[in-house]
Amino acid sequence: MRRKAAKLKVLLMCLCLVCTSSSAETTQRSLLLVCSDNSTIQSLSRAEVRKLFLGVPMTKDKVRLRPLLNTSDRLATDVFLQQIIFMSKREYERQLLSRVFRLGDQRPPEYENIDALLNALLDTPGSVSYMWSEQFGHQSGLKSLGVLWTDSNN
Amino acid sequence: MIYRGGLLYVLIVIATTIYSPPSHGESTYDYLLFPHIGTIFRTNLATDSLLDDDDYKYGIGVFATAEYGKLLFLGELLLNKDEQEIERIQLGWTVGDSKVWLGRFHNTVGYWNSQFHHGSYLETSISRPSIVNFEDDGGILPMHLTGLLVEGVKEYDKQGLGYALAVATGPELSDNLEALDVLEPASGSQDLSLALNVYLEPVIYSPTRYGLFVNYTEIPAASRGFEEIRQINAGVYGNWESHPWRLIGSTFYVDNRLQQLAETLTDNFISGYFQAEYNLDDRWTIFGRGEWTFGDENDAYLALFPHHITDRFLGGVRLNAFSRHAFKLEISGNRTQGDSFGQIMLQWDAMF
Repeated sequence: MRRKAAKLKVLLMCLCLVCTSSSAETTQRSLLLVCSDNSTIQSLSRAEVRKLFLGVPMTKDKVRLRPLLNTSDRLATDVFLQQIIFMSKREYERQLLSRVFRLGDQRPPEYENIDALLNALLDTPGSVSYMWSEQFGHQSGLKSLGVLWTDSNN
Repeated sequence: MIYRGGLLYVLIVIATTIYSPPSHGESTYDYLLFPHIGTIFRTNLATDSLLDDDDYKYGIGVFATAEYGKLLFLGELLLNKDEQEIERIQLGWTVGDSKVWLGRFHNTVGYWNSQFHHGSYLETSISRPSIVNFEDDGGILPMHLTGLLVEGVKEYDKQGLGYALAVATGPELSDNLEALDVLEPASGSQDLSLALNVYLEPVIYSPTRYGLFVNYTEIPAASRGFEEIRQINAGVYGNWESHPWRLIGSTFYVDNRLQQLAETLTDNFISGYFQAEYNLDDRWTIFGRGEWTFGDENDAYLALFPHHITDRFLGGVRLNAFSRHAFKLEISGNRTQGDSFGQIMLQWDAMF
């Protein structure tokens, strides 16, 4: 009887582990670099993404790239700035302003509304932005250019 | 090579003639507004000082930039209590990683002048170091040039090597240094100015930067009794940032040859500044700055600028409030060639 109970315990623990890991897989959160499905952009390195979102004019395959800041989710913005740009929001804003003011470049437009961001991505040739994987999964007309960051805690 | 006007317009005509529109008509623009209101209190002024015990200032800087394919436009207009002036107006092209500009721009000497321009919100402090004061504020070096500017940054192993080269006209010396007025280009008598700034960014496109600069300018000064002043200023600078610290410093060697009919006076001095900033949190920043000048005693060139501050120590605090508003307080001890006085400044800055 005791053996049976011990086996049952082990079985239950294994089941819990399997459930936990499969649950982690389904809820794992990634920050994706995205653009329109129709875009000719195939890939961008992290260094290129950083350069682009710091306001440096970039052209790829004869298309002028247009960075769009997704501020609809504060965590997404913070993660993007910390992991890709390597700056706090305040430092990033100051750096952008300095560049615009010094060199005449333009600041990336900010989108607080995800639908407005989606429309801009679809309508603006060369536009690039970032969003959570679950947001991306619900949108049609977009393609992912790669994973920028994965939440390893999930 | 006295400037007689029209150079800017000729250059713009040439530029627009050789420019061919992009195949993809993409245009973007951006603009910024920098309003400010400030007040100044001074103590212990000499009895014959021309400075007021208290003063105030207000104004707004209007900045706009536009891009159409590879064609660029940049303009900065300053409207304040004492002057209304086009500070920068530049037409440019993107050529690879470089930009070629024609027009009136800020001299590339040092760090401060080519970083903050007239956007006082971007400066942590209220005052600029006196060695890079604008001409209208009694500045002693050319801060605005008109002509050709080429600038860019190249990447080498994740580091950035940047440069800015200017071939332009500099200021004339009358009551103050007077840069070319683009609305009345024939009103002054400007001459040649050449400037070069080379810098290293240890991590490309990051704020930390170290650089060298040199600037040669021929300054007509007939109204001050000189045929011409030939000025060379050169030096080093650095801006280092690592949260919560920011350190900015620069040293200038300034050599002047003041040419009169019968003789030429030669003088030189060394001037510099060092500013330290510490962010207490996202809102509060404290800062301090020292400015000094060596070799300024009986300097013939500095004698033409009696209000120029040769030495200064200041401390201050900045509060970032609301969205893009800043309240600043600055207290300083100042020395000119004939006076020593204290100064308290309060200022509100914003950016929209």
